[in-house]
Amino acid sequence: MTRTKVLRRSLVQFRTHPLRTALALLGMVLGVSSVVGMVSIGEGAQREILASIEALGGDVVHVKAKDVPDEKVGEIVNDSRGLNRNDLSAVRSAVGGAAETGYARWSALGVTDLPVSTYNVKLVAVEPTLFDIHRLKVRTGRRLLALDDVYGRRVAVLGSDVAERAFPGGALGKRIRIGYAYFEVVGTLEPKRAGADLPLDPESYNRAVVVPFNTAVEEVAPPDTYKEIDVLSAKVGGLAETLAAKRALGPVLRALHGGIEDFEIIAPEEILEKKRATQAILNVVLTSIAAISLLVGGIGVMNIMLANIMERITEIGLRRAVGASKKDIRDQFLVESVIICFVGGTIGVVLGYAVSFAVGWAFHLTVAFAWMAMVFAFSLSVGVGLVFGIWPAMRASRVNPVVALQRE
Amino acid sequence: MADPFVELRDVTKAYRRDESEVPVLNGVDLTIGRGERVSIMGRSGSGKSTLLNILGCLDVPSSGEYRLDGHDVSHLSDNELSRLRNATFGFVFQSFHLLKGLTIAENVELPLEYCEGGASHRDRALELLTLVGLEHRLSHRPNELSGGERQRVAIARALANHPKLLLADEPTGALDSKAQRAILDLFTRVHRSLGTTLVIVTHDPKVAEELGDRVIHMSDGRVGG
Repeated sequence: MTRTKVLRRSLVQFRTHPLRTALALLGMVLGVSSVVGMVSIGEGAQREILASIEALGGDVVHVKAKDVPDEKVGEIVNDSRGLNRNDLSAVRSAVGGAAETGYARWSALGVTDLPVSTYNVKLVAVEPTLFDIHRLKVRTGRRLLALDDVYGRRVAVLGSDVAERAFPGGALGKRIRIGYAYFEVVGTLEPKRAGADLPLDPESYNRAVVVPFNTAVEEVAPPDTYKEIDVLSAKVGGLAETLAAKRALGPVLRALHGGIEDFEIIAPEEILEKKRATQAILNVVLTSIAAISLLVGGIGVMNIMLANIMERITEIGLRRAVGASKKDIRDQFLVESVIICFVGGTIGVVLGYAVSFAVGWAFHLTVAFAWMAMVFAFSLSVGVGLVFGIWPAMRASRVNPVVALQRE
Repeated sequence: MADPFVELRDVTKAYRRDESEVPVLNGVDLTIGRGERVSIMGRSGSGKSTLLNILGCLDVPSSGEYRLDGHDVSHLSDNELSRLRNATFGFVFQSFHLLKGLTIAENVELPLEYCEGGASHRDRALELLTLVGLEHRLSHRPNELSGGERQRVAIARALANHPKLLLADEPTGALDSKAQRAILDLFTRVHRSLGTTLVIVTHDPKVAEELGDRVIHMSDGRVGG
């Protein structure tokens, strides 16, 4: 008995019962497509987390000043002066001498002549090194340079949102008023993606007017009495080292701040691990649901194969009479259910990706095209065909030909 | 008998129904010579179909001995019986049992599917369909054919593997008299040209007389005179 013969025999059956085959197929299509959908959306969420962390640099440890209510500042101001530029050298030595660092202060924009509503636009005073560390990409013009800071030049780089809304015709060279000084716009930024719920949302750069730190101190507003900077970022060797850096930094900063936790250290690795843990639970739930629907699909196939036996009992009897062995009959039925599952699996994979990309598009989710999920779904569907096909096939092979041929 | 092809010795068959055994054959002795034509007659329930099934190795005797062409076949495994059916027997049924999903030619080729060997199936199918006069219906479906034509296709299928023994169970039972005539002539022609041993179960005395060199009457699971 050659394989092509067995295959052809099964295809004849599908030709004879297109509706029934289509229904069995449908169950598998839905089962497999839900597996693929769940996996690709889950995998997409994983990548989304990674991407949002990468947006501000995955290899960067951030120290963020914790807001202390004004009335409490008095209690702690004698012990700690808040996050300030003096912490910089301590951070540098704690994470390794050669570390790149940068700092920034975020404040309300205040008086300005920007032709847009500015209630959520922030004035971000940065040390220019932050352009590298926070991966701020310039769309037009130039970034801020070290000399801008040293000479207190009145230049500004606009976040993508601000630039697009305020100067649709191009922001370069425009003069804007901030406080009582005029700044020249020398560049605009590429938009940053939303960072889920990172303590530092990369997206806020889209609504920022970025100026050199020293210029801001001299021309716009004097530093806070309590804290001077809001964010201090240090680049370390890689993502995996950020947690170690956080652990090294904690005691050093706590000592400098008189034991008061008026800062928060953000290590991307830690956030990633936490996120992954939640995501993993979610994935298990999603995958179980998908597995159940695949199970239902498999039971559908089994059901239809069993119905097939009853209807084709004379066919089985006749084939036995002309010389088919039990194994021949078993193989024929098994190949049929495997083909149903394989074809259903193929359509399901395509449909699963189509649906998940559609869902991703509609709800702005990242959807991953995971090859592994595809291979997994394929082998799973063939496996389902075997597992749920073997019992009907065994039953078919055990049909007594004498009894079968008596049926009309 | 000079050259016995089939020898049954004290064959019995009983079926289990619920707790009790229902005897169907009660010690059948039967010898059929090579190339002989035998008709089996009897009322329904007399055991003639069961006898035919045992002759065709679709069923095995509960006791007794069945020698086919000199070999004992009462103790063969299921696989061996399948191979034996494929190579040695051709079955013709009252209700044809053509597979409706297959074309006429594919139906005729069916026994060839289950045997080793690579001769062109389609050529053999064409040859056989020419023999039964249906070579122009090669790619038709069974439900496009009349009852008589279907039975001719079934006979062509039964002959596909050059069977040594052709077993027919009421082959004309579902046909009108004209179609019946054609089938009887076909059996006669097949026997004359191929010399195949023929066993036919029927309850029609005319059919039994015409197709049988010998007519066997069965009653209560026994072969009478």
